[in-house]
Amino acid sequence: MERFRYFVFNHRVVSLFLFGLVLMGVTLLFWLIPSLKNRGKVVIDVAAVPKDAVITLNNEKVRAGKNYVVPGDYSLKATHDGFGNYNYSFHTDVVRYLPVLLVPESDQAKEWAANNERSYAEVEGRAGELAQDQGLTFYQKNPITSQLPFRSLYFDIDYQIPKDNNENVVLEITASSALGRQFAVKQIRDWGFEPTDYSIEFKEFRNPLKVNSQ
Amino acid sequence: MKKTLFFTVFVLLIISGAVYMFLSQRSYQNVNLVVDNPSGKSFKATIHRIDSENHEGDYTSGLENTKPITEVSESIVVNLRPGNYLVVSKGNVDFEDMTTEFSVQDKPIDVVLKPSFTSAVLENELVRQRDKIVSALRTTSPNATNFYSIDIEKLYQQGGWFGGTLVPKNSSDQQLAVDVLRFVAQKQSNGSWRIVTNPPELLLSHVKYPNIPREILLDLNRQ
Repeated sequence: MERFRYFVFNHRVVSLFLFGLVLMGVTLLFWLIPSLKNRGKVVIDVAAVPKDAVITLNNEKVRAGKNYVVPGDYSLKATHDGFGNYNYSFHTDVVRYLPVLLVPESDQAKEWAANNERSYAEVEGRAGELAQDQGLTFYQKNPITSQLPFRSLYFDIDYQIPKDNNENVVLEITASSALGRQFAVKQIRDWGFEPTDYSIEFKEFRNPLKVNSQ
Repeated sequence: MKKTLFFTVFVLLIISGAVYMFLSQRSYQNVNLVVDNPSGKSFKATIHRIDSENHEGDYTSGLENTKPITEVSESIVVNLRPGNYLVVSKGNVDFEDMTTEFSVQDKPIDVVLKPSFTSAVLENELVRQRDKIVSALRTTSPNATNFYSIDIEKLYQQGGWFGGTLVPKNSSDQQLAVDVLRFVAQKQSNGSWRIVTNPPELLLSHVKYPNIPREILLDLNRQ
């Protein structure tokens, strides 16, 4: 120890350099380790009220806040004494922010919730903003929907959102004649969209080959 | 004192250099170039870096004067720094000209090069394959050739894909328009054909048939 102090005292510049070197190495390690550890993962932001709720993702305990997970399907469970259990299944492609608002059941929990309305309102507000963003994302991902529904003399074009929550809309063309159907397809191209990139249902067309081939 | 100072600076430089090399090496990414050429016919392409971030315009002009990064004749893995790249293949007696653009970012990527036969080669091949394709259509849609006539028929890429249109047999010249059905068939490894869009439809969707190359569906839907 005495020798170390002697070295530092007599080699102040060198010591400063060495100290800088160690600091740089440590900083680099702190930066590298998490970035390598979280490579290929996505952030799931869990906002829980109450904050000390016990939260699990696929039965592994996580904390409220940002969690790095491998993309895929997850089941979230949250519990807290006096509050109802919370279960939610999601895919990381669809959900990145999870507002976990536990419903108070016991008298003590109800009192706590009444005193912490602001915490509930904050998480709900953030969830609302994200829902609005997701609505905008839907229109950005499906710009054709801004043209729909479209009605004309020969055909109508409308869209449906599939039940599986898939963001690819299904276009519906209603036309009673072959000419109307062709006009409708041309109309989609005239708007600058390619019909090949959509699922299209021709509502009033009966495919003669469908019955025998399926 | 001077000796130690010199040594410290030297070590610092070495470590900085190692860190710089490590970080810059990390930015290079493996690009797995897969040449999908089951015919085994001679194919050659070159890879060029495109400096412009602007994706508009003709990249191929002037490329002859630039040195390509590497040549590709079969599947290889190349290590490239982030940026935009162009694969260029000048056609020959068997293959059409081909350009494929790809972008390297922060992760390894696969780039599939699918050289297409010339239309003359494909037309010759269609003559040999047509009966097998019609037979596959009759098997999956027995009424197809009763109600419809095959109108447009085309082989794509290296003859492994077929696209056809069906027009109703009872249509008259006075009809302004008829409902044309479209179908795609794929050649199997044993040489037989399978109809992969069953039943034939007015429009073939790439959402519904993601395994069929989009350019084939695009071309067929515009017939």
